[in-house]
Amino acid sequence: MQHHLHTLLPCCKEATLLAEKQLQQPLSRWQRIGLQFHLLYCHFCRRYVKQSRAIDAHMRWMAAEDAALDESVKRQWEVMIAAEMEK
Amino acid sequence: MQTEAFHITVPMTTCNPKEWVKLYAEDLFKFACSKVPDTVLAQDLVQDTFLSGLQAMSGFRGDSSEKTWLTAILKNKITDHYRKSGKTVLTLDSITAHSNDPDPHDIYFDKKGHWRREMAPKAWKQDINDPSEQREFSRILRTCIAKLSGIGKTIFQQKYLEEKKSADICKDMAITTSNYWVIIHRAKLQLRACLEKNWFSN
Repeated sequence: MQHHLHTLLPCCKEATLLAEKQLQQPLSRWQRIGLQFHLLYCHFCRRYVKQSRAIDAHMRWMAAEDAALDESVKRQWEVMIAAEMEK
Repeated sequence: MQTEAFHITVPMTTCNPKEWVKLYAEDLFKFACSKVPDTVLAQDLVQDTFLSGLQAMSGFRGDSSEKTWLTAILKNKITDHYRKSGKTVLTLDSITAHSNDPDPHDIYFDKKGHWRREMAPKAWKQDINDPSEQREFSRILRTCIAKLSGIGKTIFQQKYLEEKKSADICKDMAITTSNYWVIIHRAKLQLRACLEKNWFSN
């Protein structure tokens, strides 16, 4: 009983942890209900969830950006290395 | 300051600079991107790494792989860069001031687990996914990631920049899933606070 009460009424610390978890995987039903309920009355945590989701979206954008090393840069480096080796 | 590439040695037979770009450029670039705040700088550092590698090549006589050797040179370049620039652009004073707390979560939450008033999320005025702001935001975000503490930084980078699966991260780092969530949670709290302080307060 104690456990369920706790799950249904998470504090901000627990709610934000649940929110992080939810960004990566589905929550159990009770966790989901607990989080939703908390977000109904807590505007700080609503903000947190929104911002955390935006950070994640930006991280994905950044990861895609990083992966794309321009082909022209690579060709430039190949030319540079060849020239250095001539010396 | 000269990078000390000469102390790191590699067998002559495994060195083939003509293949370097094809074999290692992507990985070195990715590594550099995870350590410095912008991609142009990351490119410069990789280029310097290749040049130093060429210069140091004649002195090779070690036993590490070519890739390990180049990565070590790149690491030195990154260290040199930070030593030379010698500046810490961003401040985390409100966070580090509490760094002696036994539980880092206590910085953000009170005993009942509610947000501390001064650390509670503020409304963000700008949209971080606005194309005209994205690059500057990336720069600040990278600097904030670099400031994360120890294991939090490693896990955060693996999860988000290397896009590794959380199960694999737990296995590789030998941590339990519940520890994983605590670490991710803490890292995100730190990151969010750092961003708010350095981006939205301007």
